[in-house]
Amino acid sequence: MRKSVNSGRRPPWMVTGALAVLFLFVVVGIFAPVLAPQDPNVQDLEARLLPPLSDGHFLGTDVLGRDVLSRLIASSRVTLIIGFVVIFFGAVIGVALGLASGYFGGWFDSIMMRLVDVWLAFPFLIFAIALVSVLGPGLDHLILALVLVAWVTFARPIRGETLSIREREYILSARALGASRARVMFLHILPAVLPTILVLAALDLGAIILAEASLSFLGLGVAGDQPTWGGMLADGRAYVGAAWWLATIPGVVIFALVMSVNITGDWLRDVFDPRSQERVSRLMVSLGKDAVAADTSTKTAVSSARAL
Amino acid sequence: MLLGASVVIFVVLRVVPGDAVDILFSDEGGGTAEQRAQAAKDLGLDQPLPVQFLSFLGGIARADLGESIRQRTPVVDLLKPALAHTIELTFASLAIAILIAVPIAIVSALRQNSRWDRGGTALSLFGISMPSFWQGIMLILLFSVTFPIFPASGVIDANSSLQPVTGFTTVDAVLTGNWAALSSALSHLVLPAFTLGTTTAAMIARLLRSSLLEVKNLEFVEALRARGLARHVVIRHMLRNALPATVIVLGSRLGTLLGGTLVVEVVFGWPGLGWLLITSLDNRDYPIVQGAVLLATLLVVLSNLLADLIHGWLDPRVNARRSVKT
Repeated sequence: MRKSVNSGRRPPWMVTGALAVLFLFVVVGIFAPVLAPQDPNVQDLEARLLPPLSDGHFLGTDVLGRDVLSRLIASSRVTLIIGFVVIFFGAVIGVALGLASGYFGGWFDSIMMRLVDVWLAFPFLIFAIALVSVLGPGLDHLILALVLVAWVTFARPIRGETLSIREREYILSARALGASRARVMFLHILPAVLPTILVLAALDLGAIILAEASLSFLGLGVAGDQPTWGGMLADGRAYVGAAWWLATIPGVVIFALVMSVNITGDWLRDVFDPRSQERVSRLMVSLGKDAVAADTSTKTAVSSARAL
Repeated sequence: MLLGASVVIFVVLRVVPGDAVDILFSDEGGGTAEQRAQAAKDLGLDQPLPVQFLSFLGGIARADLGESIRQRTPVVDLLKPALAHTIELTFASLAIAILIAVPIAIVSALRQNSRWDRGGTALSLFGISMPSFWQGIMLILLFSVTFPIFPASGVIDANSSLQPVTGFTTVDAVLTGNWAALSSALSHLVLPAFTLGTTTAAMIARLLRSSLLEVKNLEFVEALRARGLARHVVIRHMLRNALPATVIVLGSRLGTLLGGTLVVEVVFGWPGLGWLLITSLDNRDYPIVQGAVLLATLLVVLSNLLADLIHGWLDPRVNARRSVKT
């Protein structure tokens, strides 16, 4: 009669708070152009480096006199778009490959899993930097680089889950009725792994947002005059002595969003599989590494949620 | 594995764009057709791809990574000191991470669901969600600007004359008995190592806590307690059984950790691999970028291997099972 690992570990207000913060960010992202008090790129050299709570500039202005609050709001939109687009395409690619790999098995599976191994060993951020630096900065290149990093998070757990679902009787019945492979995979197995996909997506979103912020911070993010939180941090870093708010505020915003996403992800994982964490770590302890490789549950996803 | 990684690097850097020439000439409005052809020839980009790949591999094997475009020095000579700085920072941050994470994980796991556990869990969630570069800037703001205790960037004071022996600043200072240099090097190390260490600590604490929770309910722990062993002895036995899983998952995250190191190096102007990579990108010094990416990958692959070896050493069952299999 063991209690579930997570029972009582996370107070309910934490999840509610996290969901509220997420909701707020999404609303701000959607209505960004309406909500921004000023044009985020309008410079006002008369009003440079105004501290927060200044007249007309609630969060102050940067070195070119641009309104910090407006820039934050404009950035939230592009950050959320990148996050969701990357997760969507990463999930589509990763789930498709994972399903095929688990369903067909054989040489295709072997090759896919070796590829996943190599991919996981690769330093992601360095990969993304190399790619963006060669392709040049830009929204599309940034998304491409992040998708190439994100798919692998989905491929392995989905493959593992497919392996076990494949053996269930309803799949056998479907095949006996003459359903094609594609039909079995997408109409019968895919719905069964949807909760896992959702959990993986939530757990990975935080890592993607952090990766995007890091790349923007390094000057490899979205090009042009589109403000980003990472870019604002990079600009503010030079004035950290003179204008503390420039580097502080965007960081608080990134932190709040990523933390909310992570709490939501943890919560979703517990909702869908309260025993997952317990089961997997027992497997790992008793079997060692191979258990990690063969493991089917969402814990693998947790461990590959790439915190920076 | 390494071959796989080098294929990936090659594909990313050479095949996908084929635009290295564009990058070279982007400052000069594209360049003439002859200039471009000549540059492509110099870079070996006019050769068929398999030939390019083989010469790329051959270069790696001879530790010949070409010459820096701007500085006219062999890339290898630039990478060596950078690698030493990165390794030094990594070790310091790992030490800090372990010092923070292991006690938190032990307390969390032993007093599961207690106030301590919740605090520890919240702390690790904090650490995982914190953008490390922002944490670095905040530390600079606090400890270099507001209270000038630690320097904000670099590895050592410019005027401390340190004889290079191994390339590791602190080690060199100890070896040459240069205590002024040592204290300078250490004070430079504190902020970046702490920034990196806390992020890593959050990760380790989460992993170790869940492994410990598993071990905690196994029968041997009860048996040890029944035999009346002291609490710390029992904890040592539990750690011994919980560590392998942690080490192996940590090993698979080394690439991520290295990525974090890279950004933190940029924040603190720490002249390691990441800093070299980013400054070379700004200078469009292509051979250095390629060398740094390659070396970073090599570093991750080697560290993975090391994690595997440590895993085998911590958990002899793994080696036994492998030899049965083959």
